[in-house]
Amino acid sequence: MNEPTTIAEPLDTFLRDVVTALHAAVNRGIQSAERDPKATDKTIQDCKEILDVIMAGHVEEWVAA
Amino acid sequence: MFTDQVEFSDIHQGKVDPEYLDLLQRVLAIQADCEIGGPHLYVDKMLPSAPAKIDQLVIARTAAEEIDHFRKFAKVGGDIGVDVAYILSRNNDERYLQAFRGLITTWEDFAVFGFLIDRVGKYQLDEFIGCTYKPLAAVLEHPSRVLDEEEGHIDYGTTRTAELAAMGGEAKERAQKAVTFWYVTGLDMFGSSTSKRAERYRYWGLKRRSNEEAREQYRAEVDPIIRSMGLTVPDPLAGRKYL
Repeated sequence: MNEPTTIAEPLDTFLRDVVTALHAAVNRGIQSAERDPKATDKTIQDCKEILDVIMAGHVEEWVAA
Repeated sequence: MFTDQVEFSDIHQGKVDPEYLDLLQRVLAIQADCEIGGPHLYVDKMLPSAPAKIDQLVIARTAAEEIDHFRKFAKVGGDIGVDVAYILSRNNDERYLQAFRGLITTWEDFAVFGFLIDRVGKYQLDEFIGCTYKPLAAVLEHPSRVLDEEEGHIDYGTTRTAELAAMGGEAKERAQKAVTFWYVTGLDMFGSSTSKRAERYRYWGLKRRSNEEAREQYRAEVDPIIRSMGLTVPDPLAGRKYL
């Protein structure tokens, strides 16, 4: 018997939410790129902060949240 | 040759050959590692330093898509008992493939990575189309978001590389240097031409082509593109680790 790992489902849910948030931020950034460059800078910073969380890889914290 | 269509329930109930399960778990771990390995190479240095805001946003979107690809392969793996969570926190120098070790710190390396290495990645993904493990094949089933997004990364990298080459002078030299590095790295990603494990992947219907066959098809595709940019196709044997 090969059972699913206990982390599979919560990790999937967490990453799905992260990807959704990133896409939303990128879309906001693209929409504001010409008319409001400062807003785009803020959006890029938001993206970096989200990605830094993923790059840090503290999976136990993510799935425990 | 094994041609059955294997479902998750077959594995859950212990109905598959242990070698099949071992190879499937291994290939899923490697695929997940490669998907998340890209963002680990370029997010830190390239997101803040890309030439324009729109390029920064493209990098963020590319990373988001690769994270989503990781998620999809991690889920397929997790369902059959492969814990790939450790892949998210490992150091770059522990990645399965050489291409994902180190860091990308220059725009030309980021561009050529998309042009050449994401293209190798697509070749790997193509192997799973119609494979014998149905949940894996389903990720690549047409229309596949994973494949479409990977195509987008390749197109972006190819366009940016061509732009650098077209600038001439120092920019072109930097592009050539990056192509020379990533071309050989990419050829090695296909693995050894005499790999016994690769043959077992094919026997079990988890891959379609031999390593050498896929590598030659890749060269036939990419060499003319390099030439069309006015760049030189690197020596395909220089510095290779896996022949």
